[in-house]
Amino acid sequence: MTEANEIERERSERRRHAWRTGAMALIGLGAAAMALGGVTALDASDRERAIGLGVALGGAVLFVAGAVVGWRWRHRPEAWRSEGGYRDRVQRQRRSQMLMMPILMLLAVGFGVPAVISVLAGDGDFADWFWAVAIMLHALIAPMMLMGWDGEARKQKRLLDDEFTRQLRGRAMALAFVVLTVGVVVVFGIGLWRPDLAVTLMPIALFVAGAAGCWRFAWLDREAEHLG
Amino acid sequence: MGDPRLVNRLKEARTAAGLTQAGLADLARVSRKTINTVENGVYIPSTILSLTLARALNTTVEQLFQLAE
Repeated sequence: MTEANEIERERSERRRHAWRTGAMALIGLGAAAMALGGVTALDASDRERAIGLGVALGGAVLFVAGAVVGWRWRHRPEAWRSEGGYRDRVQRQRRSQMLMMPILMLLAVGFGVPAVISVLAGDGDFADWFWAVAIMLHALIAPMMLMGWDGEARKQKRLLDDEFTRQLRGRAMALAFVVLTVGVVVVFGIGLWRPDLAVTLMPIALFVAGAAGCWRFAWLDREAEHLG
Repeated sequence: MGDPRLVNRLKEARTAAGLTQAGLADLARVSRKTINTVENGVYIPSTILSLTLARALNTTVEQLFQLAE
């Protein structure tokens, strides 16, 4: 294959990738809007319930639109393999996952923080306890993905774990550690004043650190690919 | 990540061998992005990767990378 053909193929794949990224953003936003709207509609006045249902409906539309766009521009493994560059495509797909992960984590935080508040107030039911524990377990997913310890990364280790990726991973983890340290210091300071508020903020500090690491990795990876 | 003391001739060696970045990446079993960043001096490869690239291009590491005078 000539250099010109390869550049054209690369452009085409970038277009497909941009569409897929947009589709995932729509799905994430739609899911977030559905969750937010659903939570707002619970135990609310008629007006707030109507607004919540409206937001949830809008979220559902975004979700479906994202799914349709994502399907239209979906990955086609048989095409990748025949055209080569499979490793690059798998790594690009991984970058998209890193971009989306914090948005999914935000959903868990959205459910978990009110649950933690209920538990701390002494009136938490089983669902509140479940979400309070789930939010902390969920916070582990981002660093695990970043380190390549999740199931998919282990399965694709040969393709995802080259030395340049390890270098990017190290830089992203360094930022996540700094953010986590600052977050813990802030939460500790707040805890001296309001211990209950500190416990509530702890999952948010974990989320922010994990999101910072994931987004930093995605940023560095994209920068390396485009600027070189 | 780059270092101005390093003179990098990977791109010349690759084009002389008639390979694209993707072709060299396949031979070295790394991503095209890795080759791109090495060629542009953004990333300094490890000894292992340098030896792998040299082997893929049928040359020596010294031909690919040198210290600036």
